[in-house]
Amino acid sequence: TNPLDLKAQKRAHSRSLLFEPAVAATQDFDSLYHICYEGFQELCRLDSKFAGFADNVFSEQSKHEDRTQMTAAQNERLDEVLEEFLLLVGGKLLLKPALKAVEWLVRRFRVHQSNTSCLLFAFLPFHTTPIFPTMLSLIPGNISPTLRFLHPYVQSLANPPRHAIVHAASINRPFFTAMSVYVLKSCRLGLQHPTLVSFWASIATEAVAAMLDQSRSARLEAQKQNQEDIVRFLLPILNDGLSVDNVPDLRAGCYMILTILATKASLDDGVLSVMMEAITSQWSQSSHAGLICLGVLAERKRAAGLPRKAFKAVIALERLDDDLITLGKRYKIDRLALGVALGIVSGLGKARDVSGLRLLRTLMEADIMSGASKSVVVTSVVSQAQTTAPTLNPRFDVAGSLADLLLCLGDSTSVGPIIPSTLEESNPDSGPLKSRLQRLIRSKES
Amino acid sequence: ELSNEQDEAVVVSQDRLAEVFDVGPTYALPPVTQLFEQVATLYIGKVEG
Repeated sequence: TNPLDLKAQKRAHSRSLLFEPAVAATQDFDSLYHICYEGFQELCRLDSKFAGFADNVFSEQSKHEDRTQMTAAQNERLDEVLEEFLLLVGGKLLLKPALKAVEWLVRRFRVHQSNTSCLLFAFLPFHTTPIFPTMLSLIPGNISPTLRFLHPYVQSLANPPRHAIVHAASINRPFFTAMSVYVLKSCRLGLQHPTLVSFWASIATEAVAAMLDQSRSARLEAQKQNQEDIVRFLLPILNDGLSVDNVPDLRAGCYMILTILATKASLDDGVLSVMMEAITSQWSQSSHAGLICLGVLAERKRAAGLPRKAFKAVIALERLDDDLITLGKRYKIDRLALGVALGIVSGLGKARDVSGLRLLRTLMEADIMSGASKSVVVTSVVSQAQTTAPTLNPRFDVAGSLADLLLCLGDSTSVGPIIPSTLEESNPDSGPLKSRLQRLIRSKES
Repeated sequence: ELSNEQDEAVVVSQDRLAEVFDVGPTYALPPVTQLFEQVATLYIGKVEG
């Protein structure tokens, strides 16, 4: 605002989240501060994280701080503090004290002009509430292309419906990116709130589904290119999201998007492996959500087996057997279980690590894998038993351990019936394995 | 290798996906972990019964 244009100044001063313009125009910063500071104090009682703002944007001195009198560097520093406050206050915007506090940011620091995107993203999860159009009434007319979809709602001071936001996120990539960056920043700073993360995850998931549906309208060749383009666009955002620690909801949001990507696009195994490694590379604790997402990706992979790093992360989970059995009751995780089983067998040959055999037996006997997958495992067990060099140390007697495993499985009701035929196909040609498995082979012949 | 049948993408319409999220105002959505489990059920859920 031109400092010499007093009318324009008065007009700018009358823009308010809480008061009618005529009332706002008459308020001085002393009386305003008093009202807004009350709201801020109430917020501090609700959450001690707010206390950090008492010395800057809510200090006594703030009454006299005028952005137009500050240097560019001071303004930049102020922007950072204001944006952190907006991130933190976002979860409480349905509460009066929060609106009183944001009023100070509007009236004193003009966040609606200088931090427009941040203000909009803070309020966006509340797009259906009456405060949203009030907030839109503050927004300057020259809205950035990133948020252009809000233009008609700014003009009519109406609430944008959910589908308008999903549609914008599906066709306007800068908007999708900016929204994601805002949410990721809040999570990285530990200032996130559940409403924001749920909002982002749900909008982003639906938008990605819509992007992929739109890509299908093209010719086959163009379809593939469009899908690759969408994957290239999303992977950096998802990698960023998965690298944030201690925000399980954010991870689950990334899993939701990965689920849509993997099931709606035709991805090659290499891309699916990259995704699996991204999921497992930084998971700090066992979570059903992570295993479910791996299960989704494994179902879409053509070749059986998990990437090495993903397998190592999965096998390190403390209660993997219980987790897989529990999940296997609700989800089709045949290919994930197969990947784990094949990983265990393969580890026997390389590291002579027989510690996974108990888990392997549990997986085979549980109702998780299909008959075809169980056959693949038995074939792999036989092949491993025949190719691993014998040893005198019984702790590392891989062939012996595997033969014992096959004998146990042969007696089990769920796997037993498939063992003889699979053995016959894999034809344990000679040597100790054949003699140890005679009982199973004979049962087929009899 | 996956069979041809397995290779078919699971078809879930945009409407069914939207149903998961269309549960009242956006600010009252359930936690994301819960939403994710519902979405995963659409794609790899076992039919009950």
